[in-house]
Amino acid sequence: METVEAAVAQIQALSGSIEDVSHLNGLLKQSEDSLRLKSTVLSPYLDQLDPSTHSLGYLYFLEAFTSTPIIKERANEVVALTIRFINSCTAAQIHLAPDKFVSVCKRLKEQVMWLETPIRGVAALLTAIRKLQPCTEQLTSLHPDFVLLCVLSKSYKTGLHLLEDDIFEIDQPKDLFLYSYYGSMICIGLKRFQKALELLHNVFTAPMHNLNAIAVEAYKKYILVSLIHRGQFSAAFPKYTSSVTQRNLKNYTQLYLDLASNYSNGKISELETFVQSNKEKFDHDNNFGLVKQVVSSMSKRNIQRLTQTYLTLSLQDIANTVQLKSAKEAEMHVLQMIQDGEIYATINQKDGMVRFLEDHEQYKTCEMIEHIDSSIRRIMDLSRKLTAIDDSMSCDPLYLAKVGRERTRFEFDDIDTAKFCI
Amino acid sequence: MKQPQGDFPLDMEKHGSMSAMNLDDSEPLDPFGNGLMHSNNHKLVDSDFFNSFEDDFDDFDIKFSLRSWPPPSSSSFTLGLRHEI
Repeated sequence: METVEAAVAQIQALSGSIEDVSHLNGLLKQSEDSLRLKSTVLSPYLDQLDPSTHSLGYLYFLEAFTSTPIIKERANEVVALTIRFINSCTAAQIHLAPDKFVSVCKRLKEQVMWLETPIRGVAALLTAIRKLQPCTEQLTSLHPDFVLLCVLSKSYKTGLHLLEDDIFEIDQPKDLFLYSYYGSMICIGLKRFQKALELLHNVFTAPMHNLNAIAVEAYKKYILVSLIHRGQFSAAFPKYTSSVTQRNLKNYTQLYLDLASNYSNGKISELETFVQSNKEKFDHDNNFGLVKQVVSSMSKRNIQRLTQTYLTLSLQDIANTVQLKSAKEAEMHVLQMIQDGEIYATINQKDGMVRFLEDHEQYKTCEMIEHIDSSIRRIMDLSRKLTAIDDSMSCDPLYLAKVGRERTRFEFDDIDTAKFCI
Repeated sequence: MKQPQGDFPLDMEKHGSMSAMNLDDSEPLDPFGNGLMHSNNHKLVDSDFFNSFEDDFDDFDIKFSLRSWPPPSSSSFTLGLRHEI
């Protein structure tokens, strides 16, 4: 295809059947370099193509067009063009050039960040992921970009929707690190601390040859969220954590380990002193807000302990016992804990008395039964998945070589015996 | 002694835990692999990843709409104990 007009004509002619589109892909691949050289003049030709019918050709043109820097005045136009393409394109056609599709989407992310309007990219990237994925279990390189935009635009619920997919296939480790790290921030924002812990755990326990900065930052947040959610932190690594992580991670996170150690003493005034004296370092890591939640959580833990001893207690006495500044602050904490389901209590605002109640959950409501049932199904699906993975690994020559075992050879008369032993 | 095939997965688990995930120690390091090797051992891989977020997780300023109540005097409180001492 020597001219752009010729390329447009080819795209219009060869976008009908699957065979034609495959043939077109071959022709466009050969013209990639010349399209890039003409990137500045491609824009008007996009109007002659339909992003839905001519998705593959449109993709090649759009990718070449966006490969060169775009001035800020045109950035809005390019963003709108890209979003329209993502929403309209045919998945079957873009699967023929997935790398180009990913490049176009990543440039969209960069442009909306540059324009400081990350929310504009959220819906489009989610659509792009769904069109790119062969199944919801596949982590694409667009996953971390989408989650990043959700964090920046505070579209936490939209991000959570994707985070609820179970991921079993990963191409690039860095995608997993970033997806899990940014995903944990969404969960923290929604106070889904247990899920945040799982995502952060995935980062620092992932296999790695060299210590990764993302793992370091994930571990810092893991310590903080662990204190907030569980009131405790264990520094022991799971045995499947890579040795480079086990040897070096704590060297980069000592401040946070010291915070956890201070927390375990249970003295809020000492914890507050420690936090204030290291405020600058926590600020530098953008973790000071979480650290303040850690301090607040100590008050919550102490209030929870009171519920095990007292039936009623005044707000002032709660404040005194838990070392809060005033009865009003105690009331704020108690109200929030009631709202979050962390304690069961009522407050009599006439006399400032708090009455602690028993947990009224009897685990026999329809909602609870549905929750338990859905959890059981999920565990069963996971069990089937793990069995399949285990079967697959048991036959993998590399794995067998690593554990130093050889497959046992069976003599003919042993085969029947083996069958009945399983 | 020949081992029946049915025991094979169990044995794998037993020996698998002895040689756990020491990928870094037993496999040769790839200096041009996913994790680039740096001459400065303190430099972390992917240290330029985007992490410039607003510190948005400070919810200490949550305001509650409180009806006014008279604060009790410091000497008056009712102690209700859950368990008899």
